[in-house]
Amino acid sequence: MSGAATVARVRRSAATGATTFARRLEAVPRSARRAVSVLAVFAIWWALVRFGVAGFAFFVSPVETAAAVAAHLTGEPVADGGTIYLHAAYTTARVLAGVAVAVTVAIPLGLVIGTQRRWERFLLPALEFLRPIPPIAWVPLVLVIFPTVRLGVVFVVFLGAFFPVLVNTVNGVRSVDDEYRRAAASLGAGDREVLRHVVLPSALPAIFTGVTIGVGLGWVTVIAAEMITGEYGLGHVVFQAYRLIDVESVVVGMIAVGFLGAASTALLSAAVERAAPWLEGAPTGVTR
Amino acid sequence: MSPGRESSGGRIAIEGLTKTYGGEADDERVVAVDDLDLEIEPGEFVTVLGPSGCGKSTLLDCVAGHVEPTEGRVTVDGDPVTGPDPSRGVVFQENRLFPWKTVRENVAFGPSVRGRSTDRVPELLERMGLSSFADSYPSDLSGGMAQRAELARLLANEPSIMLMDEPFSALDAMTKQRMQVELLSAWRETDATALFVTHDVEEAILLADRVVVMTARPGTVKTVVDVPLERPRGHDARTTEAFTDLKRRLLASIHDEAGSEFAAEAGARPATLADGGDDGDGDDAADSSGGGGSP
Repeated sequence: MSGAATVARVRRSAATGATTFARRLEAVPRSARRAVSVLAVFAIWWALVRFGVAGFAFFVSPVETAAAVAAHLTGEPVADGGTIYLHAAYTTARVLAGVAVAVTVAIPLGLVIGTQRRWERFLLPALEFLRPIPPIAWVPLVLVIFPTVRLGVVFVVFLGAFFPVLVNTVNGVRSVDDEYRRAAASLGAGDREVLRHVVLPSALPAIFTGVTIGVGLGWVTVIAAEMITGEYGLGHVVFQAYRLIDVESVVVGMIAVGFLGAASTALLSAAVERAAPWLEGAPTGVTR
Repeated sequence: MSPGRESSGGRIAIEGLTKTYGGEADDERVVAVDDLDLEIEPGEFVTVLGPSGCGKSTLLDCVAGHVEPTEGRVTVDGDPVTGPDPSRGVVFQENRLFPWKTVRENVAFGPSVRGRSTDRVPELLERMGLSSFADSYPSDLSGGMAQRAELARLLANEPSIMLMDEPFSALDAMTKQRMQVELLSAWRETDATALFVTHDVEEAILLADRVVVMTARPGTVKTVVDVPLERPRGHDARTTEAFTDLKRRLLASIHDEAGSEFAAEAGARPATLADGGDDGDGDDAADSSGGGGSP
């Protein structure tokens, strides 16, 4: 056995050696590429304003915007009142609440629909009918049926995040390899253990994909809903600033949304890596 | 037979087992196993040897309870097999370790879902040379290590029957030979009955008390050969006269079987297994190992 163990050890050290080398090789150019990617956006923006392409002559340049961002970050009120932090907090809270409810409802529902034919026939047609309706189209109805605007916006975010999570969960559950079910059954696992130890972990990459898309759509819907419903929030900031012809505040609001959206994606990826360490090395994001 | 083990080998009785796949009409149906009878004694090691597509995997699936027989039945100690059961552990050709569980969690899976003690798991990992990989995920294991982990996972359940479907056929020749000897010594520490499916003649002889040769289409038992080699068997068993004698006889029997279609066309029986034994599905491992021993 010692011979085999030595072979195994050599194999392992060779494997880790290869991965650290690959990581080192990847790390440097990747961060550089990211910087170039972001800088390119600002460069194109600057050029469009500088050379007055289309209506960009009336737009603010990145330089002026940087000053505005700095001012707002130090607490100068945006548009018709409130700091950027206050509006960002409202928007973020709505996304979190809407996505949290969507995930809590859609994952169990997806597990049921994906594993049980009876429930699939019962539930899926209604959901397929509701799915194509854009969440934003619900806003007028939501304003009528919900007691407060805040609750209504959370519901619209929920709608945006719900379907991607549901559809991906169902697909993930359906694509579970039957051989794993068989192996589990031969080891003494009953239906509940198979669901917990085989179906759920096996569907997890697809579920994460759904949640990633859901969070993205959550940001899309929250901004649109806030534009319509008013009150607080980054969507309200952007639209109110537009009404007041405060172009700088429009851009500040947009930048804030972009930053928070990117941050939530990064947080999600980190959470996935912690929750599913066996997926280490698999490509992250929606293509996983 | 080691004393103190809870499990004791199960008696497997296969009676008139028939399994057909496919459509309603007769010409759309494929008969995988046809009216097969076989009895396996408690604690016996039986290998089923046959060309690919002879229904030997289907036979194993029926004993495992993963496939329902079209006709006939399988009983274990008199009780009909109606589905999978932890008393009948299975190892497949491709490892079915759960990729989302560590090696330790995989090996402990059976006892833990059944609410049994997992105290034996460290010992089994040690036994299989996997201790330093206990917290690795299966994707970090080599083919041989993965099959050892599968074997450890099966043994952790202390099954009375071990079912193995070409578990070493995807391994390189050296690893395969080492695994065969390791399997034998692990099996000897249990009282389990073993049913092992393979297309490798040497493997079939080395492991078995009895070799069951299957015919293809329809799959049924052609002949059963006792293996008179003493246990424990190591690598040197392969070079004994009894071994090579048996190998010659079995090769002739398989030739006759797999080669019959080709022989009929060519008008002559092929002289080596490399010509006649290849049924065209790319399973070269058995052919190359068998070809060297042909006269």
